[in-house]
This record gives sequence, C-alpha cells and structure tokens, in this order.
Amino acid sequence: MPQPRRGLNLLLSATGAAFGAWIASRLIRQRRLDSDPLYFADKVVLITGASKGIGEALAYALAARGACLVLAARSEDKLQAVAAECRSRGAPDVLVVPTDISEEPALQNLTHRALEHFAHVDILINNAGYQRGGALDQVGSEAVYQQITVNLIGGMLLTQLLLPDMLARGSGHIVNISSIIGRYAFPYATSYGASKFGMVGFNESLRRELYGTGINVTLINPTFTETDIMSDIKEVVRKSILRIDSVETVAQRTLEAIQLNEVEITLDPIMQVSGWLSAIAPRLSDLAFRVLTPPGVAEAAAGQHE
Amino acid sequence: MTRPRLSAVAVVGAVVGFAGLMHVVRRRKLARHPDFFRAKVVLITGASSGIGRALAIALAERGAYLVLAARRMERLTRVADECRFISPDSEVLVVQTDVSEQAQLEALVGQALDRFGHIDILINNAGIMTGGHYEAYNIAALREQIEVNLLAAMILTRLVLPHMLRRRAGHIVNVSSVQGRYALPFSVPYGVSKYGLIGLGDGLRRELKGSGVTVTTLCPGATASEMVAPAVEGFRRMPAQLFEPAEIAEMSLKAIRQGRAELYGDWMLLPVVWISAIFPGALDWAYKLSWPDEFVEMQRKRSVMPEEEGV
Ligand SMILES: NC(=O)c1ccc[n+]([C@@H]2O[C@H](COP(=O)([O-])OP(=O)(O)OC[C@H]3O[C@@H](n4cnc5c(N)ncnc54)[C@H](OP(=O)(O)O)[C@@H]3O)[C@@H](O)[C@H]2O)c1
Ligand SMILES: NC(=O)c1ccc[n+]([C@@H]2O[C@H](COP(=O)([O-])OP(=O)(O)OC[C@H]3O[C@@H](n4cnc5c(N)ncnc54)[C@H](OP(=O)(O)O)[C@@H]3O)[C@@H](O)[C@H]2O)c1
Repeated sequence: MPQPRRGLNLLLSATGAAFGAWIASRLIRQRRLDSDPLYFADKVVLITGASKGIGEALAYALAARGACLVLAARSEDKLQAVAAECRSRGAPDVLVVPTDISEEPALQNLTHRALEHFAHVDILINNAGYQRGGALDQVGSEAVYQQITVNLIGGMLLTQLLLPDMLARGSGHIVNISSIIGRYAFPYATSYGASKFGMVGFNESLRRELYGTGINVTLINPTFTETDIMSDIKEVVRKSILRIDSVETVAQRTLEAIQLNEVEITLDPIMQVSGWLSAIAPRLSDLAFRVLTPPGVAEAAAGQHE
Repeated sequence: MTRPRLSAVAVVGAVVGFAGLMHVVRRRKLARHPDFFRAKVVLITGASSGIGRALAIALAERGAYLVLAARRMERLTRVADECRFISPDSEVLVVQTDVSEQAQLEALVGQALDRFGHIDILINNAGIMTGGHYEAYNIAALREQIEVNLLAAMILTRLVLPHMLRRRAGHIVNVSSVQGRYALPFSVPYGVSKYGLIGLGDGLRRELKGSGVTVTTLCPGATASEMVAPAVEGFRRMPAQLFEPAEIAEMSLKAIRQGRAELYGDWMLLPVVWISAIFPGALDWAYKLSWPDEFVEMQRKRSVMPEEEGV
C-alpha cells in the first residue's frame, strides 16, 4: 500500500520544515539581539510600579544594560531602595518620583519631573497595577471603579502626557504590561479582567494610530508570575501544568520584545492558545479554564484581599 | 478514492456535520420557546435611540415588560409610547438616567425592582463614541468614554446581579462592538471601553457558570444610528455590511434566546477578528478595507476640532 506511506512522508517533511523554520527564526532572533548589546545604554526609561515585583525586576535588568531610569510608584522608601540597587548595578542616572497613578496631578508631576531631569523619555513602561479578586456581585462599586482607574486609566493618561514629546522627536516606545487575563478573562476577577482587556485594546488601537510616526508600541502579557499579586493562588497554580515565571524571566523577555519591537508577547504558550480560543470559540474556550487550571484556583483568587 | 482524499472528505464532512448539528440544536431551542420574551422584565440602557430603541420595540412586539433608561427624556417617552402602541398590554417604565452617575444607576435599579419586583434581562447598551488623535484627546472625553461605555455596565451589572443570583435566573447582555476585538485608530478610548466590555463578559460568563445567569456579548457591525450618521454613506460603499438598528435587534434577541456567548452582526469581519487575535500585528491595515475613510476621518478630526476652535 504506497498511499499511506506517501501521506506519512508528506507529514514528516512538513513537520521537519516547520521545525527547521522555527530553529532558523530563533537563530535570527538571537543574532538580532546580540548585534546591538548596547541597545538600552543611556536610553531613558520610565517604569511605573517600580517599587516591587515585575517593575522592580525590569529596573534592575535595565540598570545592568546601562539605561537611565525614572522610577514611579507610591512607596517612596521602597523606590529609593530600588534606585540605590539600580545605581550599583550600572544605571548612570536614576530619578525617583513617588506617584499615585490614580491621581492626574501626580501623573503631570511625574511627566514634568522626568522631562525636566532627562529632557526626554525614550521608553515608557506602563506596569503599575494590582488585582482585587472576588465575585462581581460581592465586590463594592468603589472597588470596581478603583481597579479601572489604576490599572487602565492611569497608564492611558500617562501615555497621553508623554506622547507629544515623543511625537515631536519622532521616536519612542510605549510598553504596556497587560496580562494573559487581557486575552482570556478569569472568573472572580472580572474588574481586573476588564481593566486588562481595556489595556490590550489601548495597545492595539494606539499601535494602529501611531503607525509611521516612529513610535513603537509593545504589549506584554505575563502569565503567572512570582510576585505579591499571586501570593494567594500560588500553591494552587503549582499543582497545574501552567508555569510560574520568575520576575527575572518576565523582565528578560520584556527587554527582548522591546529591542526587537515585537507587537505582543505572552509568556506561557499554553495560556496564549487559550487566549486565541477565547476570541474564536468562546464557549469552547471556557473549557480551557476548567482543564488547565486546577480546581480551586478561582476560589483562591476570589478570596484575595478579603 | 485514495486514502488521504478520503480522510480529507471525512474531516470536511465532520465539520459540516457538526455545524449542521449545532444549527439544528439552535433552531430547536428557538422553536421550544416561541414566547420566550413574553412578560419578561427587560432593562435597556440607551433606549432613546439607535440599537437600544430598536431593541425596545422588538421586545414590545414580543410582549416583554420594559424599563427604558437614557438621558433625553422626550426621546425616551416617545420610544415608550411607540412600545405601548405596538403592544398595549406590555408595561413600560421610563427612568431618566445618566449612566455615568452611580447614584442614578442605583435609583434606576431601585425603580425597576419597585415596579416589577425583579429584572430578567439587563441590556447594557448605552454608549457614546468619542474620537481624535490620542495625544490631543480631551481628557474629560477620555474619562467619559470609559465611564459611560465600560464602568456603567460594570456597576449596573454588579447592582442587578445579586437579585438575579437569588432567583437563579437572569440574563446579562453587554453591547460591545467589533471594535472590542479589532481596535481602530483615532478612537483609542472607544476601543478600550469595548475591549473592556468583552473582558467583562468573558470573565462573568466563566464566573456565573451553573448559577442560572447567562451572559451574552453583542458585537454589532456598523449600524445606521446617530452614532455613525455622518459616515453612513461611506459604509454603504464598503464590502462589510451596514445594518439597520432593527436588524441588529432581531439578531440580538435571537442570540439572547439561544444563550449565545458572543454574537457578531457582521460575519464578514470574523476572519479579521480571528486572525488579529492570533497574529496581533498582521492586520493592522485591514481596517481600511472594512471601515470607510469618512468614518476614520470623522473620528480623527473630532477632538482636534474643539482645540482648534480654542474650546
Ligand atoms: N504577577 C502576575 O502573576 C502578573 C500576571 C500578569 C500581569 N501582571 C501585571 O504586571 C504588573 C506588575 O505586577 P506585579 O506582579 O509586579 O505586582 P506587584 O508586585 O504587586 O507590583 C505592583 C506595582 O504597582 C505599583 N502600584 C500599585 N498601585 C499603584 C498606584 N495606585 N500608583 C502607583 N503605583 C502603583 C506598586 O507600587 P506601590 O504599592 O508602591 O504603589 C508596585 O510597584 C501589573 O500590571 C500586573 O497586573 C502580573
Ligand atoms: N452604531 C454602530 O455602528 C455600533 C456598532 C457597534 C456597537 N455599537 C454600540 O451600540 C450601542 C448603541 O449605540 P447606537 O449605535 O444605537 O448609538 P446611538 O443611537 O447614539 O445610541 C446611544 C444611546 O446611548 C445613550 N446614552 C449615551 N450616553 C448616555 C449616558 N451618559 N447615560 C445614559 N444613556 C446614554 C443615548 O441616550 P441619551 O443620549 O438620551 O442619553 C442613546 O440612547 C453603543 O454601546 C455603541 O457603542 C454601535
């Protein structure tokens, strides 16, 4: 029977070709990264939510590559400690601006101080955010409002404040740290999900709008990352096939995405596929949550901050 | 026939068969409840014009009890009169509401419950569409865009949900947009609000599984309402369809009866949605094929103009 063998051959060679192409693209990617080791040197990078977690790790990774930093968050003492560490790791200049990103005047102050000190900002990383879990019928209206104000509107306003200067210079990079939850919403975190979906939309429409202006826009979707945000669900997630990234991994992948001007990256490929499904076959995608996440993850998330 | 060809035929057959089966199941669901909406209490925000008004009328035709909310009272009472005329025994409550005011949302739910005792279906439809270059966007417009389109729906759902959960029955419908999956330039906050609504629906659907409360997200395509009026002629030229509000209303009611998770009015835009979900950067120019230049220009000029006029 020659037929089945021909089918098999075809399948094997297609798989081989796909694998080869993948290897080649990884090599090219690495070459591109290596070709410019000084990409971040002396670039001015503003990071919100730099006092801990992913923001802190980003600051250290950038410091090690010689970037100048503007660090913003609410806790000044923590920011100062992060700044000192950044200087010792090689950042030429670090500016700390205590900022509550839910307050418009504070954002204006942050912009003003950054531009005054460094004259321009090359890269803005909208990272500040928090998650408040709970069933929607049980969280207060005020909590819903606050989740959108901090996670979504804060970054939108800060971007708007920094954009004119970037446009005038014809260069800049806006990096939005959303979440896989911005592509695949989790139960018991609906307002967080809405804020992260909003951020994805922000990224998408801004990218299309800024096409050709010299300003790049990149979306980072971390999945489960080892920070305070997931302290309550960590134990449950560990039992699943989903991975938990270190903040260093997220920082590393973020810098690569910025340097290569990638449009969007998602850290865990399994969750990424769930995100695709969610847009294509919503009902089917609901199963993904049940299959991938261990029982109890939603309930654990719901218990957060209660 | 050779075996690969046979298996291809089998795969295609299975897909067609599955689609056909789903179709039959949906049809049967529809046929089983011809009076699905009769005497159901439906709260519609943004009922004074466009899609909201069309929904109200279509629901009145089916004998639903209506709670209509919007800011423009004369318009709202006119819609209510139309509904009463169509269906003299259907009850209509009109509540003047600015959905961006939390206190007014609470009053709206309070009045609806006082009058009807419960709410079967909540339709979060009220919306505005702002536009402009993002760097020149009016900040008040930006905030209002998020408050009216997204936060209002979140808060109203939050207010209505406990009552629905207690009865273990209810239906929450959010009117998002194709722009909630494929954002256009020059209306960044609109896209943000519509993406947010999809996220809200997705999360809520997963959260409310098994609770008796269903969630449907509607993504109408371009619809000839006041919102897009200046660009209507442009839309007629495009390969994508331009809907009448009444058509969207019919489709939406069907989707609600079927308990669908998501409904796209314009199936021609589905490939754009799917491809850009998987390859986010790949179709950044596709909007030029489906949305007319007039529309994009209308949006682009919006927040620039007041500034040029020195407002
Ligand atoms: N960890 C994960 O699994 C995960 C997954 C996906 C996405 N993310 C996203 O990644 C980003 C960073 O999160 P993380 O995991 O690193 O969390 P984290 O360790 O809790 O850090 C959050 C940061 O945001 C700052 N922040 C919070 N509210 C603020 C406000 N009102 N004004 C200014 N700064 C504020 C915090 O600083 P102060 O408290 O000092 O203000 C802190 O520096 C968030 O946007 C989060 O949604 C995280
Ligand atoms: N037309 C389209 O092509 C299209 C496509 C996709 C999605 N949509 C969505 O469909 C929904 C309905 O839009 P439409 O096309 O029917 O537009 P429309 O004719 O302009 O209707 C918008 C409705 O929202 C109400 N509204 C606006 N702001 C409000 C507020 N602050 N408080 C209470 N009500 C408010 C308006 O009533 P008052 O002004 O009297 O308050 C009006 O009834 C919107 O969410 C829109 O985003 C439209």
